Amino acid sequence: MLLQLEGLTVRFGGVEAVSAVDLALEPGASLGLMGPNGCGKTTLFNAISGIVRAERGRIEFRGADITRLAAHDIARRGVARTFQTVRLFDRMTVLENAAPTRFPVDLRAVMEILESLKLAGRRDALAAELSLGEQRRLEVARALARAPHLILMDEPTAGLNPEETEEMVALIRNAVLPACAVILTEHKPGVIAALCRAAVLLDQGRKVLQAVPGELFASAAFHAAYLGTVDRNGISQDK
Amino acid sequence: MDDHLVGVLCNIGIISFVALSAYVLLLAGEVSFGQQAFFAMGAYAAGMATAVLRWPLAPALLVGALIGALTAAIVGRATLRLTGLYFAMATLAFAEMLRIAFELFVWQVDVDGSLVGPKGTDGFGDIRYLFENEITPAQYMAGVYVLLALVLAGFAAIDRSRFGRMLRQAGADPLLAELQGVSVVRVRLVAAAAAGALAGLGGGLYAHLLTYVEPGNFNIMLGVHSLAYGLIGGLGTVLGPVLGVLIDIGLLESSRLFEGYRMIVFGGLVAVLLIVRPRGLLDERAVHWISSCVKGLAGALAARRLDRSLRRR
Amino acid sequence: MIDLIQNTLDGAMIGSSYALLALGFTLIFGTMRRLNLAYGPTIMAGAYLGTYAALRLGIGAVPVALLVVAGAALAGLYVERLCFRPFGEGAAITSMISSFAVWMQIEEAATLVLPQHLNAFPPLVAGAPITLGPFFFRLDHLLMLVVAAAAAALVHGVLHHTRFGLGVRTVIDHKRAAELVGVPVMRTLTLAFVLACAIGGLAGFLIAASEAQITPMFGMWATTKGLIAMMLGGLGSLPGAIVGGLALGVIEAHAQWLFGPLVRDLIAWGLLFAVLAFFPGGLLGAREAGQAAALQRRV
Repeated sequence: MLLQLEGLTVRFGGVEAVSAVDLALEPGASLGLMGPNGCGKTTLFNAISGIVRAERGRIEFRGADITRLAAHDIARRGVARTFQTVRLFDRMTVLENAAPTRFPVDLRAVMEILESLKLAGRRDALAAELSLGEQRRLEVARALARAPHLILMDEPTAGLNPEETEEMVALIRNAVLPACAVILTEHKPGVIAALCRAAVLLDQGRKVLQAVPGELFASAAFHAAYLGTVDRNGISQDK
Repeated sequence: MDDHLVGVLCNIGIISFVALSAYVLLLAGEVSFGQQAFFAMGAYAAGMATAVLRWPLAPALLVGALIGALTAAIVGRATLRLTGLYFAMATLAFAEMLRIAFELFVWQVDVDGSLVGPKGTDGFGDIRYLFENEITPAQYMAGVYVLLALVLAGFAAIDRSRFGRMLRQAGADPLLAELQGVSVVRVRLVAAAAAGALAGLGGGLYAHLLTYVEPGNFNIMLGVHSLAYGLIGGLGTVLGPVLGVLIDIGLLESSRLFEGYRMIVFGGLVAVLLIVRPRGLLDERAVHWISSCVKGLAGALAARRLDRSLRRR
Repeated sequence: MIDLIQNTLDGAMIGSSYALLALGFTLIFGTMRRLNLAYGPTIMAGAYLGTYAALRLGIGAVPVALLVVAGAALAGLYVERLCFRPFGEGAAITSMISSFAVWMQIEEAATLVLPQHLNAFPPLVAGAPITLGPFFFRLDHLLMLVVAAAAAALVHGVLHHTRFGLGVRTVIDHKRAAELVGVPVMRTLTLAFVLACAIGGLAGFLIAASEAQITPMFGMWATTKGLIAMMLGGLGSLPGAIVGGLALGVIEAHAQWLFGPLVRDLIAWGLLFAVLAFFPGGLLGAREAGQAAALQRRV
C-alpha cells in the first residue's frame, strides 16, 4: 500500500471535520473524493499533508507512520498537493515556482514537465501574470516536478470553463496519472469518471461509500449527500 | 577626496551592513526591530578585541561577526516560532535589553598606562586601531567597500542557489513552502544567524571608524531605520537596502539640503512611499521588468551583431 | 515591609497612568489589528502643544489638559490618515513601519517648536503629600489614580452603553460581520483611533504634569511603556491592558527601589521578552492567542 488511513479523525473545537475515515491507496492508483462542500475533503488533505493534526487514527505512507510528522517532512517523503484556490509564489517566475527546492534541480526535467503542461513558453513570466488556467497548470507542474509518489489534487478544475476543464482532464490523464498516484477531489462527476477507477463519497466527515465512479453516482447515498433526502415532509436538508 | 566625503561614504557602506541584515530577515518573512543588537555585539566585541586584547583588525572583525551570528541564532531559537508583530516586538525587547546591559557593562583594563574598555553609560572609547596602524580613512573606506562587495556577491550567489529560493519561498508563503518540503523554521534560523553575522561585521567596522561607541548608538532608531532602508530601496534585489541607505544618508543627511528637518522629510518619504510602492522602489516587479529589458537588449544586440557579420560576409 | 507596601502603592498609582496608556494602545490594536508605533509621539505632540501654550499664554492646568488631549487626538487623526487608512487589513507590518516614519516626523517637529531638551510642564497640584500612618501619598499621584480610574470607567461606559461603543466592540470581534450588520466600519475605526489617542493624551498629561517636565524622548517612552503594558496583559484585551499597566507600574517601582533605573528598564524589557517567548498570549489574552493559532491552522 502507498497510503493507508486508519480511523483518521480531525476535530476543530466541537466539530469533527473528519471522523474515523479508513482509506487505502495502491501505488500509481487514482482515487476520486466526492462530497458536498464542508464534507471534509480539504481537511482530509490537510491532515495527510501535515498541516492539521489528527486527533485520533493513523496515517501510513510507504510503510512509515507519518501521522505526527511536520509538513515539510511529509512533503519530502513524496506527497505533493494542489489547492482549491490557486496558491503560488506570486512574485516568482513560472520556472522558480516549478523547480523543486529539495532535490538537486534537474532543469531539463523541469522544462519537460512545463512543456507537457504547455507552460514552457511562459517560463520567465511572474506567476501573478498568468491566467487562471495557466496558474492551475503551474500548480500541477510544481507538484509533478518534485517527482512525488502521491499528488493530492484539490478541485483542479474549479473556476475553469468547459473547454479548459476538458483540457485539464486530458493533461492530468497524460502527464500526471502515468507519473504517480493521485487523490482528486471534485464536484464534476465527469472529471472523476474520466480520471479515477474508484471514488469515495464523504459526507459530514464520514466515509459513506467507496465504489466504481459510475456506481457511486447512481447510488442513493450520493444523491442524499448532495441533494438531501426526500421524506414525507418534502426535502429535508437534515441528514 | 575630502575627509567629509570619505566619512559619508564610509558611513553609507557600514550602515548598509545592518540594512542588509534586516533585509535577510525580511526575505525570510520576518520583521525584526532588533538588528541593532547584533550590530552592537559586533561593535563591542571587535572593539574589545583590538583595543583591549591588542588583536589585529581582521580576526577582531571575524569574532564580531561570529558573536553576532551566535547570539542571533540563540535568540532566533526562542523567538522564530513567533510571527509578525510578536516577532518584531520580541526582537525589539531583546535589543533594548542588550542596550541596557551595555549601559551596565564595565570592563576596563590597563593598556600601556591608560584604562581602556567599555565603561557602561560613558561608552567605550579609544578604539584606536586605525590611528595606531596608520590606516588612512580612504584606505579604510576601500576596505569597507571590498567587504560590502563580497557580501553583495555572496547574496547574488545565494539568490540563485537552492537556499536562496527556499528563503524567498519561506518568506512569501511559509505554509506553501512547507508543502514544498522546505523546513521553514530551519531556513529562518539560518537566515537569522546570517543576518546576525552581517550586523556583527558592520558593527565591528563601525566601532573602528568612530573610535568611540556608546550604548545609545544602538537604540531602536537604528533598528527601525535599518528595516526602513530595505522597504524604501526595494525588496526585489539585494541592492534595494543599499539604495535606501544611499537615499537617507547620502542624499538627506549629507547634502544638508534639509538641515534641521531631515526627519520630517525622510519620515514623510517613507510613509508616502509605503502607500505608493509597498515593497519599495526596486520591488520584484521592477527587478523582473529591468532584467527582462536587459535580456531583451542583450538579445537585440546579439541579433544586430549577427546581422552585421552576415552582411559583411 | 513598610517599604514594600509603599513601593507597591506608588507603583500602582504610576501604573494607573500606564494602564491608561495601554488602554488607548489596545483600543487601536483591537479595532485595527495593527500596532501604532506613533502612539507615544502622538501623545507627545499634544503635550508639546500644551506646554507651549502654557509657556506663552500662562494658562492653568485644566485648559492645558484639554489642549494636550485635543492635540493628541488631532495628531492621531494625521497618523490614521497617513499610516492606517491607505492600507488593507493584511498590511500590519506596513502600517507599523509607516507609523514609525511618522514618529520621526513628530519628534523632529517637536524639537523645532521647543528646541531645548528639557521643557517645564505645568504641574497638576502643588502641596505636601498626605501621610497615612507610615505611608505617604503624593497628591498628584493620587489625582492620577483617580483621573485614570474615572477615564477607564468612562471608556467602559462608552464601549458598553453607546451605539458607537457597540460598533467598536462589533468591529473588534469580527470586522466583516460588523460590516454586514451595518456598522459604519470606516467611521468607527477612525473614531476609535482618535478616541484612543485622546485617552493616551490624558495619560500623557497626567504623567508630564507629575514629572513637571517634558523632553523629546517622551514619545519613545510612552510608546515603549504602553507597548510593554499592553503586551503583558495580552494583545487586544482591554481588561488585560489595565492589569498589564498596573503590573508594570508595581514591578517597576520595586525594581527601581532595589536596583536603580537602568535595571528597572532591563527588567521591564526582559519581562516583555519572556512573556512573548513563553506565553505569547499575555496574561489575559489567551482567547486572542487561540484565535491567532486558529488563523494559522486555516489554509
